[in-house]
Amino acid sequence: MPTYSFIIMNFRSIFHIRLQNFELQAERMLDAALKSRAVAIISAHNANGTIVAISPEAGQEGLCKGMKVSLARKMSQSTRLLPYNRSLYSRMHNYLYQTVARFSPLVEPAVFGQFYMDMTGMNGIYKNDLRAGDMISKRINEVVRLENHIGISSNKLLSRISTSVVPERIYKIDSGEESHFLAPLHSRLLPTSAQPAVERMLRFLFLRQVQDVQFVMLQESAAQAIFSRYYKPLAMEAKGMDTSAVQPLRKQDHIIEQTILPEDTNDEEKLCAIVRQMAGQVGFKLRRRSEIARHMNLEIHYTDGYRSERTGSLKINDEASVVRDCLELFFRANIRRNRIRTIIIDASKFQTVACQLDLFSPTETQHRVLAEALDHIRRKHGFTIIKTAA
Amino acid sequence: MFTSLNTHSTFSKMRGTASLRDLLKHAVKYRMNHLALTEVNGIWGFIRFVQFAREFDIQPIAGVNLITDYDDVILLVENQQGYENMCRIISDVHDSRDVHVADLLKSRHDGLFVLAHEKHALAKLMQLIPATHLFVELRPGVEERTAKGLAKQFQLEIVATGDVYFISPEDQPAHKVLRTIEHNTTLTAIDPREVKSEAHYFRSEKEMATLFPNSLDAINNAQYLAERCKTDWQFLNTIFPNMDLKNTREASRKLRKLVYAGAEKRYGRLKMGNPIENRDLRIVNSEHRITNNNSSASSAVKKRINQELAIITEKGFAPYFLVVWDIVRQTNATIGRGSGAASIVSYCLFITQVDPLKYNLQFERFIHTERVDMPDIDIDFPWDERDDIIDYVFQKYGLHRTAMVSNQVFLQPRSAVREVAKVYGLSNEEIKVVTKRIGWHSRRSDLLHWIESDERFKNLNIDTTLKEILQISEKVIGAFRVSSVHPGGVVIVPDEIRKYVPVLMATKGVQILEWEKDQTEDSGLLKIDLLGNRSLAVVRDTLKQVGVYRSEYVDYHSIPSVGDPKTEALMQAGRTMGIFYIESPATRQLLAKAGKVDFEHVVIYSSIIRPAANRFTNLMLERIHGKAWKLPHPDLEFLSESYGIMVYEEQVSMAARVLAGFGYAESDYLRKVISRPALEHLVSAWRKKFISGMLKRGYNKKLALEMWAMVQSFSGYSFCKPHSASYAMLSFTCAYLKAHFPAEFLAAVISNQGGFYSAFAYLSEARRWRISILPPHINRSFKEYRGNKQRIRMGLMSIRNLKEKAVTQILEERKGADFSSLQDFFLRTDLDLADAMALANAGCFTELEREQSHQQIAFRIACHYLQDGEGEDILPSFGNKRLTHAEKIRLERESFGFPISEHPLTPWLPIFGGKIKKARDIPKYVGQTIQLAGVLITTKVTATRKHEPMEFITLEDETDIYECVMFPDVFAEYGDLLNWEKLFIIRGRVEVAFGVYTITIEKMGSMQRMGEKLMEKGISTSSVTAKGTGVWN
Repeated sequence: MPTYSFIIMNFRSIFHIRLQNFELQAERMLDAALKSRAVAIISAHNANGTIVAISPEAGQEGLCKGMKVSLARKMSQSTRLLPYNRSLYSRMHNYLYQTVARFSPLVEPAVFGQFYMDMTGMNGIYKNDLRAGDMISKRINEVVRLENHIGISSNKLLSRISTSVVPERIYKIDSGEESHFLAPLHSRLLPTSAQPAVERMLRFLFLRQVQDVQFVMLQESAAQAIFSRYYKPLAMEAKGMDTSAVQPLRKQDHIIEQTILPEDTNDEEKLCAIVRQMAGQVGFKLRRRSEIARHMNLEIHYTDGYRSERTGSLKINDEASVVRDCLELFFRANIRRNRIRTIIIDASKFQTVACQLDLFSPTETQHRVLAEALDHIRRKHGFTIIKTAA
Repeated sequence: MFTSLNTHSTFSKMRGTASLRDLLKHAVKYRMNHLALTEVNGIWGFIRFVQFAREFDIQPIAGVNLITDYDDVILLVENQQGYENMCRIISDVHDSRDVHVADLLKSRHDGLFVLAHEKHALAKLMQLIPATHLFVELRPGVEERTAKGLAKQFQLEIVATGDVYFISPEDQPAHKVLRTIEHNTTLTAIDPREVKSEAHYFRSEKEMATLFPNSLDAINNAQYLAERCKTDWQFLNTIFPNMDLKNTREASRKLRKLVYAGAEKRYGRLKMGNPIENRDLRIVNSEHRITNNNSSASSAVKKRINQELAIITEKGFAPYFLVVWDIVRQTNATIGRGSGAASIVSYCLFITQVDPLKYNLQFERFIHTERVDMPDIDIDFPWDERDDIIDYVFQKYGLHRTAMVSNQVFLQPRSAVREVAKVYGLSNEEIKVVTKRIGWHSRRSDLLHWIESDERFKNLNIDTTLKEILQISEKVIGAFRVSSVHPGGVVIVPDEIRKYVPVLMATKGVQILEWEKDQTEDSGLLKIDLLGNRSLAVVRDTLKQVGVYRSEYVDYHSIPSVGDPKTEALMQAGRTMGIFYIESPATRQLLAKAGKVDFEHVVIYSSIIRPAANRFTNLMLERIHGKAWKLPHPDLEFLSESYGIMVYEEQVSMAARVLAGFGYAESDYLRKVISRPALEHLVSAWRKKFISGMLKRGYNKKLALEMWAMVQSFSGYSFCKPHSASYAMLSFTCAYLKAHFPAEFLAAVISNQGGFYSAFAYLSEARRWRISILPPHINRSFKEYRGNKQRIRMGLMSIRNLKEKAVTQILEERKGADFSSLQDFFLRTDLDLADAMALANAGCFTELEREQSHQQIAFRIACHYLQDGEGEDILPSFGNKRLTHAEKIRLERESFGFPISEHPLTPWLPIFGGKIKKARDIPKYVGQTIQLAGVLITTKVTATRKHEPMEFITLEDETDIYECVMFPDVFAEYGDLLNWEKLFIIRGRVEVAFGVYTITIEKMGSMQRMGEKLMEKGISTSSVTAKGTGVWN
């Protein structure tokens, strides 16, 4: 006997919009000369970078996703290697979000070029799901001229799988057809199969298709023993069930300071000077809000793409304390000798300053008074008017 | 007068930037007649220092800069006792730095002068050391006023030192970089106390007077103290394990007895004395045994033995031979390498395996009355027994008498750039761009100029940071980085090792000397090389399998390999894959090209295959094949055995003596100069001496230059004839085993690993010998591969991801009985799921559960191991799908790293139709251009005379293995492909030289990529049957 929530879930209408090879399409949209050329988008230009997306022409040259840039360069000199242009993709992704958001109040942006839309109850406006999908697809084509696929089903999982495997531009999986749709597909399409333990077991047991997994799941005790804690999610996925809801975009309150160094360096003196300056900015902003940050994250990006981060909190927002805490985070995060390219300080989880002032601690009072005086000057003449001598 | 009494060279670990020669050169420049070398906590380069100091006519003083957790003092050696005390103290500091120098000196300060600059150290030392031997050190960084205050307080004299770490102030950044590398930090983060200031450069007397204007007495005191130190260092005496006269005499007598006993075993009964009753039983008799009526042979043996024993006794080497004999006794299969193989005494003691009489090996190369240095006997043991042998030596002679020789690792161009770049924060990828072009063996020190001007670096972007890195790297090349354990050098002394040289514990947990092999030898310490050799283990394992599976028990010492027709036929065909020393493609081709494979010729081939002798190899081949030749001069008769070409080291020495008039010692040193990279700087001087010597003796210049060209072909490395003969004997033994017991031999080769080729290549070779390859089996497989007549059963070691522990458990459990079923296996073993999965994927259970599919077996394993032993196994009602061929191949690749059911080319070949020729048919197409397919077996990049890169490639298809060459223009176009592809389609011209076929590649492509393109065009694999061909059928 199906539960009430299950019935409700089955009547949902979830759309998944996928712009295939979004990054590549975005680049080609900007530069028409790239349309017929072999193109690959790479994570970084250094030899350690990898290919993020490739055009079919580049695929014919033997390149593939995940391949190292150094190898790609050797294998195909004619392929144009483009650096990952995050700001371009981000702007285009936002633009697309605004475009599709006109069709439903519940739109969840996923990775670049992918969106979920909850279109439940919209048939009164668009008549049926297929027509709604068609309208959305045409609208995307009108505004950005990018090839897109739309999958429609009762949940996010099925819609997403359908856009990744079905060649049709718009495809709807009818309610009750979920497990039939999944049965012939490869078992690695099920999200839980990405877990190393599950992946290893699926390979070992030769469970190649979802129908094999479905079959194993019928032997409940055996399946439970084999997949242990992954049994339930895998069983649900194999049946085509997914109860997660479409989540609208949530804005988080952050103070983010980012510095891309003019020249990569591992000179600690230079780096400390930069951290001091960034910490000064963060402290200044916090004092303007009269808040402290319960969550502080300092992130370091090294030249070779390696990232290191450390997390702490700010209990006082005077200049000296913020600088001290940020420097401490920096020293903890900087665990390598390699040169640093970028430092990011991210403060969040703000809270109003409500600490007890200490009558007998003149240093803290001095710091507070000094910070107020500095802020006064900065407000009047701009932040950069005061520089630290380090 | 001033003498530098506190000087650090590059041997001060990651501190000094000045080489010993630079320091001595500056000492001469500043008119010093003494120089003290005071490395930090060691005398790592002391022997070299003494040798170089003699060249520069400087009196060398031994000393050390002791830096412990509490003190920093200088010790200088007054006499031999002081030297011994210093070595003991340094060893103690190596044991622990958490010690006060005063505590170390408490009972060991005799013969040592002590210089200290810290008050607390002086206060303690005052209690122990008389004022005649204790001084206040005035060094850069110490104020004159402070030093004077201390001198006054403790009533001591002041001695000024430069505390030298580099030659000039401009070298200080390099010193700072070294300290930074050592501390694994950055230039800005290094603790300033760890770095010396610019003041610590090598100063002249005048500069010292400028630095310490009010301490001229202290400056003069340095000279006065230097004159009181020991400088007459002699390393003439060899330090034997047992040195006293009585023991040496007894050792000589024992040696004689043992040698004659061994001679009876080697040659049969000699016509003298009593026959030795204790003859060992050998199934296969040696063909070289002397019959009772062959008295001339018998007397030749006796004569040679007596000659050798006379010299050995005269030189007092008998204890040495007995020590080596005792070590060799611990195992059966050994081989003596080096010049020791020329000794009949070694042969009779079973230390070496080549009969020096039969193969005309000259004893003088090993021991000569004029030779001052100690002859060494290097012995190879099966690689897996060597550690036990070394343990035996340590146990027998004790830790206080024994230590292993160290390897001193210095920063080379490649490592220097790498380490300096790390200090500057460059990432691995950025560093590799530069270092991979520099190459492992580059000795260039003018890095910046080289990189800016060499074609190989043309695409490199040299920015200011990289420029700085290269400039600093140039200065740190040659800095002493770390000491490790030498693979086999062991030193045994009669009393206490710590009095001869400081010792330390290596990371591996072995006691090692501070000195590397050359300094150890030059110091007079007796070094015995006990090296690991995989082929000896191969021989041992082959013989074991032959005994087990064929019931033929063959003794290692009596294998009749030389002269065996089957063995020679194998060598003639160049089918020597897996055979010691002659398995590389170059040697295989040389054997096939030469066609003559008797023992004497193989000895020549083993010697001539060296990088600098390519030209002479071709010349020799022409002469072997009948090209007329004559000796360049009648005096070169000693070259007639090797077709008028210099092949052996002793021929170099002989040429120097006969043609250039060198003495024995000089000619021997010339050999060392040519072959040792460390003595490369002396080559030009010796060239001059050699040529002028020849001209003086009336030879013409053309001949002199021709002879020198031959001498120079020995640069890098070369061998003496006894060594080559010794190795050739092992090659023959291996070849004999391969010819007669191919499955057992190749199984042993794969099991012992570390051969020239991969396991896949050896298995392919086995198939070419019509041997079946059987997959691992839970009841039939052992850990190692096992050969049995015409079958090789893969061992459990071939399964990736199968832990050693699991293999041991399975073999242990199987001793009782075989596993009767999978259920039986579950009950009797306690493995991890991962191990069981690895076994299942490798097909180990397939024959055990014939009725069940692979999937069903997999389910049973998963259910068993994932239920934590609770309840009955759940036998699911599904999983009866049989594996497809592709799935089987995938499992094989995952399990072994290569497929065993089909050749890797098999799935692709049908796509290409009949265009692709088979390797076995290559001889039909001489002079024609053909297309071939191949799996990459091995490659060798080399350079033409114009220094253009080219490559030799070995490929194989399902029918045979074949050799290809890629000349520079083709290499430039396709060379990169070899970095990531394994399967190739090549188009090339078939060439033949001396009956050996090679393919000169014209075009090359990835088989997979081309196959995929063809399939896209409409030819699908399903339309053609992927049948195996050739030996894979």
